[in-house]
Amino acid sequence: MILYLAKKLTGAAGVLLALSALVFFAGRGLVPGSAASVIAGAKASPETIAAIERDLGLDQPLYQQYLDWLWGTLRGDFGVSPISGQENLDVIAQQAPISFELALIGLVIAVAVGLPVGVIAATHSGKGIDWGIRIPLLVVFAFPGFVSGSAALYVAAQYLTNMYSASYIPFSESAVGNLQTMLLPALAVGIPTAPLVAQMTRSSMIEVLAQPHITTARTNGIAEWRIRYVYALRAALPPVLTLIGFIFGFLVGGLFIVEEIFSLPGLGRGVLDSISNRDFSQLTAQALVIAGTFILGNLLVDIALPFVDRRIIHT
Amino acid sequence: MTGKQTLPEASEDLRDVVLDVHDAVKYFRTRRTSLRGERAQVHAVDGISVRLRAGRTLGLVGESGCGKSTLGRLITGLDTPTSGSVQVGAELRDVTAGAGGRVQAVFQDPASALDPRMNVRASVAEALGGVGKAEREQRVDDAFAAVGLPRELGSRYPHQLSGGQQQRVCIARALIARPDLILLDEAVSSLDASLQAQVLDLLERLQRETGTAYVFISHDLRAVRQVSHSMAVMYLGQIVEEAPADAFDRGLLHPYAVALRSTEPGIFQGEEGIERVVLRGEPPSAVNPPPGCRFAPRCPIADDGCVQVAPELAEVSTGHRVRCHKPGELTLTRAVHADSATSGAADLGGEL
Amino acid sequence: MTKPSSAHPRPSPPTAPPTTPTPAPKRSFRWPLRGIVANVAVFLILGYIFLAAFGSFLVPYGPNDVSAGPRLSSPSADHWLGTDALGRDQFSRIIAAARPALLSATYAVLFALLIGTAIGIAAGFLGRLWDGVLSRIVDLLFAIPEYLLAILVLAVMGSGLINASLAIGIVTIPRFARIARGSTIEIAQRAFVDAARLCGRGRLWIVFRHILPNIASPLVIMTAINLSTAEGAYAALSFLGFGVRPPDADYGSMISSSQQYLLTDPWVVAFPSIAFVVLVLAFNLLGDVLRDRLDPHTRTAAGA
Repeated sequence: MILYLAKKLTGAAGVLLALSALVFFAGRGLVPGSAASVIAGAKASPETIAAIERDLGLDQPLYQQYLDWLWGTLRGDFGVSPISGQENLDVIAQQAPISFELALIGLVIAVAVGLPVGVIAATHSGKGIDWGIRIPLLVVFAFPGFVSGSAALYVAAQYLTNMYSASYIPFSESAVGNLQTMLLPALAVGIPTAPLVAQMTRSSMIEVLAQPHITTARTNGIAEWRIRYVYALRAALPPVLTLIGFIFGFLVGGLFIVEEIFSLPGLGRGVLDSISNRDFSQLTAQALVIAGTFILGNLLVDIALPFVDRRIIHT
Repeated sequence: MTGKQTLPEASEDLRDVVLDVHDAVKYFRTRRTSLRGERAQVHAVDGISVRLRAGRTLGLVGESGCGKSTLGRLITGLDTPTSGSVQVGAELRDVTAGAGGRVQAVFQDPASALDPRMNVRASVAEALGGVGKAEREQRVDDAFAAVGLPRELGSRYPHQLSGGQQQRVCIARALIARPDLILLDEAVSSLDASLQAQVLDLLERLQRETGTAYVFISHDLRAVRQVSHSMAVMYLGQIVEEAPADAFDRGLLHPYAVALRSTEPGIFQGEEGIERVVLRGEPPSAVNPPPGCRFAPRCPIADDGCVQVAPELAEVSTGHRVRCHKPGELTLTRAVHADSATSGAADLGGEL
Repeated sequence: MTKPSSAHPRPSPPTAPPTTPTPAPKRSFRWPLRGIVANVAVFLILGYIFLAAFGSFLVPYGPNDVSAGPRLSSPSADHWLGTDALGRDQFSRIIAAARPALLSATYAVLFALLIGTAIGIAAGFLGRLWDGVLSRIVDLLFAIPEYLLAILVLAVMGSGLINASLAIGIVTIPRFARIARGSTIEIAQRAFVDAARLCGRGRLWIVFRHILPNIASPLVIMTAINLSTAEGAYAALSFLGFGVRPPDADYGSMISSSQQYLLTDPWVVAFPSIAFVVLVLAFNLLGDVLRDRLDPHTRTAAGA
């Protein structure tokens, strides 16, 4: 058990470290040539550019810059963006809660819809109902966030005018108002993810239902509903949980688009803005937060899994 | 302890020897199971020396986990020994898998030994790498004929053949490159009894025709004995007794070999005096073998000396070697019951 | 990297078909509906391929022709699907967008298939050291949310059809690498690989003659499934402005540039959305049918 945890922790730490290098160099790659020339503007003289470079430490070798940045980040200092002049941490502190809220509500919706649908499809596997469910699922799955988001926005604006508010309201201002702004985007993130959950649940359930202990339970005369929704579901869930990281990944993808459509000032839109502003410093910080959260989320699942299913630690 | 030293003397006749395993050792590291735990080593093969001449068959028997399959992989060059050497061929060069096709193998499960996506003719021809097309076709035809398979089956895929046919294809593949040595790793174990007999007859006939040497590994004493000229019994990575076939039938000296042999009475007629020796317990772990005789914890006649001092493999007569402090105290016709254990052994002791 | 077998039966998410290499399925299809679903999918995909290949001869107006008609006109006899904010003919643009959509998905998946399979086989077959190094790299790629990685790649390389395809290809590599590695490990343990070594065959021969043919079917499933996800990913990236450069037509960018007219003229968003959703759906159906047929797990478990 301790060995298992140690493995997972060192694994996550290693990935985070490699990730930090990746986002750092991706950020630098954003500004080919010199970042200082972006800051100084097109007409700046070479002397000005050199002065800015010295100021920001951009004249140092790249690995030195990386180490400095890494050391700062480890101490919680995400730096100041030389483009916008804002503290990166402040920017992220504004953007991150929106994205996290969106992802969380989206996940709840995806599971609340996907899980029961998957179970029903599995228990009717091979029959008309199964395909009756699977084909609509595939149709929904074919709707990427930007299509479902557009549709949701259209419906809301046309028919739900009193329920939906187009401009973002922070939770601290009004809880109800916040939920009003978030519900539709969360649906746009969650609904396209639901088929993924349903599909995983379905295939996991089908495998469990085919196993001997289920047949034994049947021959022992245990009620069918009990077999399906208690025995089989309990055995089918852990493998679905192992794939929750995958679902997170899918949700994050949805964020970029849904935040764009609904004009939500979250991290996804923040990344896109940083790219168009060539703000390498802010981009690096934002990307690190997104990917870092993702990795930590997966780590949490890994740590929680052995409590659901002890066999995990031996694999 | 009687007998000569284990290692063959330099003057020994090496003519016709096609397999010379010299003090081969193979250890595997185990996976760690806890943070502080050390990575243990499994002593799969622990100091084995054997020789085999052309046209002869060495039978290798032992319980599962005794290291016989690992030894097989060393002999074929599929694995390299941790220390020691394995030399094959008339020139006795160090073995490497595939080099010159001098060592071939027939494996237990023919279904897994044949590529399901390749027709069996292509599988058989696989050993003929540098051979021209016309000659290759001719030799594949010959090999099919030699193992008694109709030529038309060549275009089929493995799943379209029966188990017996599949194994014949494997034998054809092993044979076609005219190797010096063929390893038969449980080669008939997956076949049913009547097919086993057919395939064993086929192997014997092919050996007479080609003069190939066989190493036949199996847990099935009866099948191995039928085709072998000499037999080696393995226990926990070591050979405990090696004997010519006739000595194996009647004159076994090591208690483990005797116990093993007693499970198969009636290999030959007139074996009415045999009592079955039932061993207690499981073989100890090969991860940390006991310091003395490895068989001592289960041996009906072991004493304190056996537990403390490991016996050497000693030659008692030509080609007959045994690794025991008390060779011959337990024999096929004078078995000791397991439950009478060590105390009873003293009464029987002292004769050979 | 996940070990090929684990304590559980693993469910198959759309990106994780079975690692079990299977002998060629020799069954006839018993369930007619499957045949119908498959036929519909294949028919639709062929239709889009036809449009991508010959669409330029069929379109009534130049797809980028801003003076084709009045701005934002409703569907009419002249403009079957109306016109966009710049007066371009929507029908022509939707047909023209089939080409980048199909090309991007094909490029991306081919790239991931080639690189991912090579990495997976090398990791599964060349031994521990290679496995350790390659698996770490793949794990790292896998540990980053795919869209973030793709966007970062595009931020560095710049937008465009080829770059976007490459970015999608890169994030898709781990999926192929994992399947290929798992299947390779399973095949490499079989006795016929040992037999081939004893026959003096080298690694290349074993990889091309024994391993590749035996891991082909999970890779085929992966390819079909990922064509649809790559399709979706490309449209999403194009929606965010990383696709083909304007003024060329592209489903994602058509939708995003019309977004502001959604409430007044919904069809400018609706038609490209429908065209795109049908395309993705066709690939989804194909992938699903293929998985059902080639994956022994779901086949036996579903009792089909």
